[in-house]
Amino acid sequence: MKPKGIRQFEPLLYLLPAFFFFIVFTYYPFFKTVFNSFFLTNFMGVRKEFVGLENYIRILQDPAFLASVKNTFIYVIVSVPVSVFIALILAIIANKKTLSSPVYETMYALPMAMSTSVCAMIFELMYNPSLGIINELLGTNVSWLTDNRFTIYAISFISVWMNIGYNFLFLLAAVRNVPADLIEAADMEGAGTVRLTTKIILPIISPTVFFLIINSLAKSMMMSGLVIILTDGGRNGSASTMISYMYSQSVNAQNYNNGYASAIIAFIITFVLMLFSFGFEKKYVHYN
Amino acid sequence: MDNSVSLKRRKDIGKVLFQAFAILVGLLVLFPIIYCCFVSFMKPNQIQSIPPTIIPKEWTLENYFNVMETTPIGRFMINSLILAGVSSVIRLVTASFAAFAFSFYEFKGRNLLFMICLGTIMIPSDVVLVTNYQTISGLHLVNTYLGMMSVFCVNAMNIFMMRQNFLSFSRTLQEAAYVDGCSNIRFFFKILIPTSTPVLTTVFISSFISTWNTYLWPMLVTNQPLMRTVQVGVTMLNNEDGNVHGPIMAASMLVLIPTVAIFLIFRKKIVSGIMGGALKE
Amino acid sequence: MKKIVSLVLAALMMLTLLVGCGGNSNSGSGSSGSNGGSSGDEGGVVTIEFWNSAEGAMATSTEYLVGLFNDTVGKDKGIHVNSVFQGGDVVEKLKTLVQANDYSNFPDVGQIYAAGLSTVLQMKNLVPLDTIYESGEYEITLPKEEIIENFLRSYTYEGQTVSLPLNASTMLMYYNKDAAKEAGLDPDAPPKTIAELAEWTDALTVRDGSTVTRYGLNIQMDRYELVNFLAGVSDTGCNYIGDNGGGRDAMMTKLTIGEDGSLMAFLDEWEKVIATGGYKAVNDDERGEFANGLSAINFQSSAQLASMMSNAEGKFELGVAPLPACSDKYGAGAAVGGGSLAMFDMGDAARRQAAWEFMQFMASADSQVYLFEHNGYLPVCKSAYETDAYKAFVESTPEAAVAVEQLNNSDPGMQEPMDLINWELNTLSKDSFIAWTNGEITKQECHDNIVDGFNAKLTEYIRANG
Repeated sequence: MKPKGIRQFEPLLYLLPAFFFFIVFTYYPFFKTVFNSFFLTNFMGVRKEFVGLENYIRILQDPAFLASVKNTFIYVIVSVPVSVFIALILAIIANKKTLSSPVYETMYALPMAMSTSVCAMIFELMYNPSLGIINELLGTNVSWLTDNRFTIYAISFISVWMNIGYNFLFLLAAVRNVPADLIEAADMEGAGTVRLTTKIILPIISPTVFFLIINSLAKSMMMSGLVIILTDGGRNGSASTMISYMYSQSVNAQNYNNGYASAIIAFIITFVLMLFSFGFEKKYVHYN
Repeated sequence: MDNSVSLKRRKDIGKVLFQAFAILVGLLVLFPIIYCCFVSFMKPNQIQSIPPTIIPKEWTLENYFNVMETTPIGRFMINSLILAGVSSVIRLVTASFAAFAFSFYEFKGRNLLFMICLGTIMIPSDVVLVTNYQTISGLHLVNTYLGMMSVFCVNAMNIFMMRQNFLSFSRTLQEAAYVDGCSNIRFFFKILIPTSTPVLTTVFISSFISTWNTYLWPMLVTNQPLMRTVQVGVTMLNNEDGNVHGPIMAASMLVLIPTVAIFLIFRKKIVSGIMGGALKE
Repeated sequence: MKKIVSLVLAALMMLTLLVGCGGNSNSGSGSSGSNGGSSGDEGGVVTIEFWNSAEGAMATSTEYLVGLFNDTVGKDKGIHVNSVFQGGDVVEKLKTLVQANDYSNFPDVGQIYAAGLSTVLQMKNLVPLDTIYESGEYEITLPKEEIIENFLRSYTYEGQTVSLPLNASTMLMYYNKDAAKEAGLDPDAPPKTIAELAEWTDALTVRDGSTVTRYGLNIQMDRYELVNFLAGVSDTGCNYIGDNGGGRDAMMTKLTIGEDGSLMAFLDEWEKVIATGGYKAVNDDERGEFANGLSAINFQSSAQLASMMSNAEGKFELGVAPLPACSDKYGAGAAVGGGSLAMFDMGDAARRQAAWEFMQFMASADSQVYLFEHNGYLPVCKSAYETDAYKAFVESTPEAAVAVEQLNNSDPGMQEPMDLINWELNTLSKDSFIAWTNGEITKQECHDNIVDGFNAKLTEYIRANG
C-alpha cells in the first residue's frame, strides 16, 4: 500500500493502542531506571549523588557479573536450538489428524501450562541426588543442582521442557497451514519424511520458526526464575545469569547500583543479538 | 479383493501403531506432570523415600483437603480466569492492529518502531515494578481488576507472531480485495482477521496461560484476599517449615484443570480451515 | 463453535466490568486515605488491615487466631480484623509502597521479620512499640515486662524497640536416636561441644567401601547456621558478630568475628568435624535425607519440630538437643529468629487503638500457647509458660521443651546480627564452607573469604547508604 496524504498516518493509528501501553508500562519506567543508573542510590532506591558511569564500570569489573554473562550465553546456546527442534519433531508427529489427536496434541502442549515456581519444585524433587527419581532411573549418582559441572545443564533441561509446549503449539498451527496439495504432490514423487520436511514444510513454516527462535532467544537471555529458586546462583555464582545477578543484587543485597546497571547492560547485549538475528530474516525466512 | 482387504487392514494396524507411538511420546513429554500428579496423591512420608517411587503406595486425598483448607482456591481461580481471559482478548486486539500496521504498510521508521516494540521483552519485570505500582496507585487503581490487567494489555511477542502470519498472507488475495474496492479497515475485519483464526487461537492460548500463571504483579496491586489469583494461592502453601510438596503439587493439579479445558476448547481452531483453501486460489 | 467462543468472551468481559466496577466503587466510597474501601469506621465497628507472611500451617493458625479475635475480643470492642496474605515477606511489598510514596494503602498491622527492621524504620507512618508503651494513649493489657527480653531485643534498633514479637523460634540439633544406639553412643547424652559433635559424626558415619552411605552430619553452613554457632563464642558471654553491637546500636560497619578471633576459634573446632569425612556440607535436601537415614544429625529451626517428628514417625526415634557450644571454654546458646507485629498509623486514633488491641491478643498467653502447640513457635510472653495448656503440651511432647530450655540458657544479647546485606554473608559463608570441606581452599582462606569478602561488600553498602 502506498501512503497518500492523510493515509500516511493510518498505520500509526493502528500502532497507537500497543505503543500507549508500551510507553506507559515499559519504557517510561525503564528510562527512569536508565536515569537512576548514573547515580548512587540507597537501599530504598533514593538517588544520592551523580556518579556517571561508575556503576557500569564497577560491574564490568566484577567477576561475578562477567561470569553471569558467560553463563547466560551457555543457557542460550544449549536451550534455544534444542527446544525448537524437539517441538518441530512433535509438530510433525501431530500433523496428521487421527482419532486420538486430541489426546496427544494436549499432551505435547501441556508443559507450557506449568508455572515456573511449580516446575522448579517438581524438578527439585526429581533432581535430588539420593531421593530423586532421575538418578534412580539413570542409575547415576550426580548432584544435579549443587555440582558446578552439571547445574547449568540441569537448569537448561527444565527450561527446554517448559518451552516445548509453547513452541509446539505455534509449530502445529504452522505445519497444519501447509497446503495439503503440496504435500500430496511431494508424496506422489515419493519424497521421504526428511526430504518432505526440509524441502517443503520448513520453507513454508520459516516465519514461525524464525519467530520461535527469536522468542526462545529472548526468553533464555532473560532467564532468571529457575536459577534463583533452584540454585541461588550456584556455588560461587557458577549458575547465575545476567538477570539472576540483577535480581540478587537489587532484591537480595539491596544494591540498586549494581542491579540497575546490570539490567541495562543485559538489555543492550540482548538487543544487539536480536538485531544480528534479524539480519538473517531476508535470507532464510520465506513469506509467501 | 483379498489383496485390498489386507492392505486396508495393514493400513489400520499402521494407524493404530502410529497413534500408540504418538501417545507414548506424549507420556514421555508429560512425565514431570504425571509425576507431579502422582505426588499429589501421596502421603507426605512416601514423597521422599528410598528407593524413590513414582506411583503412590497408598492413594490419599489429604493434600487436596489441605489445599482447600488453607486457600480459597476456587475463588482465586475465578479471579485468574477474569484476569487472564480479558487481558488476553485485549492483547489480541492491540497485537492484531499493531501487526497489521507492521506487515501491510510501508512507512518511515517502521523497522525502528518494530525493534522498539521487540525491545520491551528484554526489559525484566523487576526493573519496572516499582514505577508501575506508582502509576497504578496514582490512578487509584489499586485493588481493581483494571489495575491488575493494565500491564498485561500488550505483548510484543504476540505482535511479532501475528506479523509473521500476516506477512505470509496471500498477496494475490489482498490485491483482489483492493480491486473490489475494499477499504483497509474493511479488509482487516472482513478478510484478514477471519482467515487468521489459527494464529489468533494460538496467541490467545499462550497469552491466557502466561497471564494465568503470573504471581508478583497481581499480588502487588491487590490487598484483598478475594482479589487474589491462583499463583498467590500456591505460594500460600509454600511453608519452609513443613512438608509442602504434596499440597503444592495438589494445588498445581487443580490450577492445571482450567488451562487444559481452555486448550481443549480452542484446539480445533488451530486447524487451518479457510486459510488453507484461500492459498490454493 | 465461533458463537460459543464469542459468547464465552462476552460473558467474561461482562463479568469483569461488573466485578471490576464493584472493586472500583468500593475503593471510591472508602474515606480518602483509608484502605481498599473496606477499612475504617463503619457502623461502630472499626475495621483494620493485618498483612501477614503466614504460609502453610502458620497460615491456618493465623486465620484461626484472627477469626477467634473477631469473634471474641473484637466482637466486644467493635473491632474487625481483615487478614491479608502478602507473599513470603510483607516488608518487600511495603518497601514498594514507600518507594511509590503510597502510604494510603498501608495496613494497620504488618508481620515483620528482624531482617526487615532497617527498611521498616524508613517508613514515616510506623508507630514503634516503645511509643505505644510510653505515650499513655493506649490501654495496656500486655506490659512490656511480660515479654521475654531475648525476643524484644531482636526487634530493637538504637535502643528503641520497634515491633511486638509474634512468632519466635531457635535453632536445634535433631538426631537419629536409633543410629546413635547402634553406633554405641548414649542417645540421651547428645554432644555438648563441637569436638563431641565431631566424635558423634565419626561414629555415626556408615561406609560401603570408600563411599559414604550415611553421613554422620549434614549441615550447609548458611548465615543462619553460622551466626548461631558463633553466638556463644565470646569471652563476654555473647558474640555480636559485627561492630556497633551487631548493628543494633548504629549501622554495622564491619564484622568483628575476624579481629576478635571468634570465627577462627570456631573453625579450629569445626576442622575436627570435617576431618571425620562423614560430614556433608551441601544441602541437597537436608530434611528429606535425614528422614530416610542418609544422615544422622541435622540442624533445623524449632519451628520444624512438628514436620521433623512426622517425617521420622515409624522410621526411627527422633532426638532433639540444644546446639553444642564451640568448646568447653564457651557457653552454649542460640540466637532467636521469627517474626513480629509492627503498627502503622493510618491517621485515625480509633484504628490505632484497635490495632494495638489485636497485637496484644496475638502476643497474649493463650494465642502464644496455640502457636507453640501447632507451629513450634516459642511463646513470647512469660505468663504463657505458667498456663495449664503449656504444661500439658510439654508433658505430652517433651521434645518441644528443648527449645525452651535452650532459650532460658541463652544470653538475651545472642541475636542474629543486623547485617543489612545478609544475603551476601549467606552466600560467602555457604560457598566458603563447601569449598573448605571439599579441600579446595584452606581453613585460613575460608576465614578470609568470609571476613574480607563481607567487609568489602559492607563498605560498598555504607557508601551508598551511610
